[in-house]
Amino acid sequence: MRNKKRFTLTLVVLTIALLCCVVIASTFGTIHVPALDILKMSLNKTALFHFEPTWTETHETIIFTIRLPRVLAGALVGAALSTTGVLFQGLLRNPMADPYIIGTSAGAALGATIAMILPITITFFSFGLVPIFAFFGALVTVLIVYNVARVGSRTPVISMLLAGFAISSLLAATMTLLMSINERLQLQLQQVFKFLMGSISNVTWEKLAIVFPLVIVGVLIAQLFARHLNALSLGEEGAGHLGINTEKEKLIFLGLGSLLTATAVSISGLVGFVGLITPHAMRLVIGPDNRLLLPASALGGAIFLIIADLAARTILSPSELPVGALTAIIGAPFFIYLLRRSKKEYTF
Amino acid sequence: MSSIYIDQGSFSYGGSSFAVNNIDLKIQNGEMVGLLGPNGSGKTTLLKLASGELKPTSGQILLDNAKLADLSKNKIARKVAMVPQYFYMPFSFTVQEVVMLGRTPFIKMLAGEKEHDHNAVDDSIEMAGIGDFKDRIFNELSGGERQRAIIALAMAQEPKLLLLDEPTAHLDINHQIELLQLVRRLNREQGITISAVMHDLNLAALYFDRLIMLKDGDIYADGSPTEVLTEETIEAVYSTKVHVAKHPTSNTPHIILLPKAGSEANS
Repeated sequence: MRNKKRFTLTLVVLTIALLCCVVIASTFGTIHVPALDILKMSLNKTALFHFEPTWTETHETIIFTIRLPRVLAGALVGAALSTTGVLFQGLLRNPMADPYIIGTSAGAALGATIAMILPITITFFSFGLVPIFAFFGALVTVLIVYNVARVGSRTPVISMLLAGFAISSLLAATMTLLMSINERLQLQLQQVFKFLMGSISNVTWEKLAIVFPLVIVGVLIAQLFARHLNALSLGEEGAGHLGINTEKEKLIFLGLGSLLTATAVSISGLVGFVGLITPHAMRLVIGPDNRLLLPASALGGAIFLIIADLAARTILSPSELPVGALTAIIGAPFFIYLLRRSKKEYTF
Repeated sequence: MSSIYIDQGSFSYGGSSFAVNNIDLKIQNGEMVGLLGPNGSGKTTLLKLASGELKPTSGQILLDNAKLADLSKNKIARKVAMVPQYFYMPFSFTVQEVVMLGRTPFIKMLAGEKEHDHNAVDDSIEMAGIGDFKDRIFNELSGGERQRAIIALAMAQEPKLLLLDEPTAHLDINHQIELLQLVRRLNREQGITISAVMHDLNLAALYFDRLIMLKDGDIYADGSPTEVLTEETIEAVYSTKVHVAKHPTSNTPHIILLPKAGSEANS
């Protein structure tokens, strides 16, 4: 890249902004904990620092068992969904693609629902079959939508939206059906509702210990293929003429996107539009080069979801809004605006 | 320079009919060849076979005596570049970024762009004469500018064989001339083997040394413009009567369309 300085600067600024967001978001709640205290107690945890506590033990418990896990979970969900957004937009050659809009999230959710009602319980660490089923649900859905929506080497917005809508509706209906006939799910209706609306709560460090490496590895693998994703904007044939094995790489991108979506869905349920808004906002500032867009969107998505989740839990405090409702309230009008703006380009 | 040899190549898109039927065609190092023929005669299919995009149903294709089927996509891309007829770019890459995509086959997954990659891009931009707008957004260019940018992309691949699918379609006459002038320069100065599907017979006669006329997936005529573009051949292939005159300055054949008898054309 010619502009190495710009690359580094963008990522450094975003990383600092993300760290600030993590600390500041943790100060908010029914009990205010000063940012400096949070910094000090976190640094004490590394065993390298030994600050005199200027805080109570209750503060420490609140920060470490409730707020930090939640804020970090928000960051990971945001990063995973935004990275998936960039991957799908690049692969579908369609800037309107988003894991929620094209039904990947719903696929993951249905997979998760099926896992929940299965009479078997196998648990790996603190996860059961749920994330595995969520992954396959997401993968199968995106394969179906991709193949239904494709016209030649393009995926026109209209056919993508229709395919995504039809498949999502089908999946949502199947989920409703499962819920109404399954007694175990009926008992957990409150939880199921939260899942469908998209909500980050009940996050534990054990869960984060699985989700964190999955998201990081996913983002890093995506980064490896960033240049090829650029070439794919020429279409499958065009990328093929540049020496890319498109059939193989398509599967890599779809698999990676499904993995990231399923990981996000497993801790937050269906949070929509993050994967649409973040890459768009980032493209406006830094351009479409995926080598910078991918990491910048991962960081930007993390920041966006931390802020959205902060709003979700503080606006009506002490009661909570589902964060998915908030992202949809911001995201849906934005989506409509994009559709209107690009109307000319998308008429056939 | 590269040669391509299509050895009894056939291709079918499915069903019993063949888009390309048992064709034997050898394009030598440094040739500049135009592929002609009516719609559906198999010229684009032939180009796609030569680029490795399609695999022959039977027969084989040799690129510099190596079987195309045995070469990886990356190996092919280091020798063969393709300029497609239709090009859609969904994101707002700059012209320079688009041309840099041509270096994709040469850059390893974890490595960055080397000095040579930047030089190749700069040279291609200069050769295609698009230096003035290299920082503009590709999507905002006019048709002629776009086509030259796409050629620059192909040139950044430093190809030995350049394939073009109707490069002058949708261009104004000044841009048609400019583009073919550029392609001919690449052939003459850099020795790049050129094979292009052409729609316009007169342009093809002016710029190509060798023309291949296809009919129903078969080669009907193969030779110099004077040998191929005769009234008889054109009538047989296009079912249209024409008059073939001599171009006043280049002495190449010039096709004059004749209105069908009985109709009145601007009389």
